[in-house]
Amino acid sequence: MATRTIGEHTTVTTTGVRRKRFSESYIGEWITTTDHKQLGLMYLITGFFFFVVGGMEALLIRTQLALPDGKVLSPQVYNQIFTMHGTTMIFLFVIPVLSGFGNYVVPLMLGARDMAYPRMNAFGFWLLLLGGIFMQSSFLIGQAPNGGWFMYAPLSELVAGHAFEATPHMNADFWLLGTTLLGISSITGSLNFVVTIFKLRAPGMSINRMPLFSWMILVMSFLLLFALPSLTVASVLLLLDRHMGSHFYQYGNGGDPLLWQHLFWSFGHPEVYILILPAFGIISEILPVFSRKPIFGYTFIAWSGVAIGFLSFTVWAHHMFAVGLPSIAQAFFATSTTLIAIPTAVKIFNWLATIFQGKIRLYTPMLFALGFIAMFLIGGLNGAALAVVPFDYQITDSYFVVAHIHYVLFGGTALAVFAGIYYWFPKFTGKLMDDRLGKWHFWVTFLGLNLTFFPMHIMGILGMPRRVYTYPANLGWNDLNLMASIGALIIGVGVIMFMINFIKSLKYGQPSGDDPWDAFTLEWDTTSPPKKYNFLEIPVVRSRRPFYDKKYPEHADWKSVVEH
Amino acid sequence: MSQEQKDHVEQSVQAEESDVTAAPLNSTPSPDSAPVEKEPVAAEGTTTTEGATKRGTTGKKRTRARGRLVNAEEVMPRPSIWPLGMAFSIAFVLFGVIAGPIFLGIGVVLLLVCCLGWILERR
Repeated sequence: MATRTIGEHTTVTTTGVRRKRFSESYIGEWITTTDHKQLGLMYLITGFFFFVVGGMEALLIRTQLALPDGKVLSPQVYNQIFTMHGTTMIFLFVIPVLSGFGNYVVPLMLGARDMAYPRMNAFGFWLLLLGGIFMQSSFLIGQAPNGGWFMYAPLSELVAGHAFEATPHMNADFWLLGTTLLGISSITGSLNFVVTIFKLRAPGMSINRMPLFSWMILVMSFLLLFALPSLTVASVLLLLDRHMGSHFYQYGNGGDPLLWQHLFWSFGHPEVYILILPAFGIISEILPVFSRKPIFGYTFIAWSGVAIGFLSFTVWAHHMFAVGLPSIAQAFFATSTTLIAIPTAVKIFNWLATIFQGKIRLYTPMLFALGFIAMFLIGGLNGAALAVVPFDYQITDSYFVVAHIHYVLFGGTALAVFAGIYYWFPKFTGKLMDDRLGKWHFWVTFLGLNLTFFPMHIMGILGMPRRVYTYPANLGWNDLNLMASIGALIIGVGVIMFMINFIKSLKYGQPSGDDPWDAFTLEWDTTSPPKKYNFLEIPVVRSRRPFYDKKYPEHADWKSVVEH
Repeated sequence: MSQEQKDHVEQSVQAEESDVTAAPLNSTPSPDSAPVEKEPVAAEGTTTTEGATKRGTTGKKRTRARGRLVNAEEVMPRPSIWPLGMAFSIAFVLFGVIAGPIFLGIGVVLLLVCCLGWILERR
């Protein structure tokens, strides 16, 4: 009879010694894995790697702009750096990291053994990694994308249809092909999330009992599925213009450059909510656990996420008020943009009600979650200001807009990502991160981000255009720019503190046990880190806090709460 | 870390140490396992034998609700190299679009090979 020794280098059988398979070697295991947890970690590590790359690009930008008449970078390189900073942070940091959390946590939260399509899951990850390497490798030949993260036509055309060459080299091609690869990756990931969430929930976990993080991943997945085709179409048309002689975006030849803006932003604005909705989900998981209360207004939070998803497809032209839209279109898009603030505010009120009179435990994940609410509120409010057409006319394409997007995406999403890492790190590794160092990380980051991005509001109102290479000393922008650059350095120090904490905790961290936060949801109802099969027995769910019910049967939610 | 959390972590670590991890899986949660007929969730720390004894004393229905016991390797997806191969070949095809027909041709051939490998691979 054959015997098998799991974990040994060889398998002993009656017929002899079998050679170790490639997939059983350390490297081979990572390369061939289809396990959602390993892939989730690979997404997270890849995303964080690109966060560091994008962060260094940001530091280069701030170094160039720290003083007037800066000459640290050439104008050509500066264009490449700011384009790749935006592209890297949006496509290669935020989306992968959020997908990483989703990959690791969603099946566990749902009580599933894996994602619905494990091999497709691996395929999506590898596409992401190759797409990222492909785009960043453009620096090696000095032809990184240089038309902004939105790659506006006709600036991105080979020949603009007039008497000048716009982007004659491969710069824009790297962007177009890279985002197409990343788009395929996101589509596969989204399909996988949708099927997993609809088909693999544990018995008893109705859609109305699903954790809010899974809800937000579901909405994000639908947004990706419906928004990405627009970007793909826009990219293919631009590639045809550049290489096949078509004229979709060339005004001089009967095309329309505004077509690019419509196609791009009908992807680009849902994209903003793609980047923020899972962050809402992370916050909605952390606040109740650290307030020792169930989430307030579960239904409102879940359905406001759906409402945001729908409305996000109706607001794209608020990026285009200054191009000369008809009044009726301006009125429509201003109204829809204002409307989207309502479900967003619903979430914020529900979070505040959740922590109100709660038994708050101020550990690092909670600090980051509270920081998220404050910073996202600022980003949301100045976003609502941008919906006012006359105001938008004044500050469009200025540093005010840069301040807005960074309060939303750094003050919002990045803080939520850090909150998620501190919260789920014990689940990933079985160890706790250093809470004291984590708190230092939070306060340094909080100081740095406000010092960097708040002055940008004033710079924008004073007329400093975004994407500008340098500026003369007599415009009153000097001190504000210097302040922003110092703030960026402080953020960099915060990131270094996080990396030290991460590595230190990984090596010497205190064992966390399976459930260090006394949490409520199913991902904590298994070992830390979980076994390959996740759960010994598939759990049965009776309320929105199944693990809480199991730990405290005398106070179980299902005894007192009626849910449908 | 507060005393409260320290205590909680200690309890949790102790529970983990006493856990038996090599138990087979219940791969098929049955609709019969409705909460009304069963304790909310069986303790994960129970071994197969203990679990069987517990269930044996509580009747036929609960035994059926637990489902077939299977090995983890039977139900978990196997590792595969084809997702990486497929991703690489798609990247090659797209690169070929701008780099020239030779790269494009190599990419298409790779893509076909990887498609076949993926489809024909036994689960």
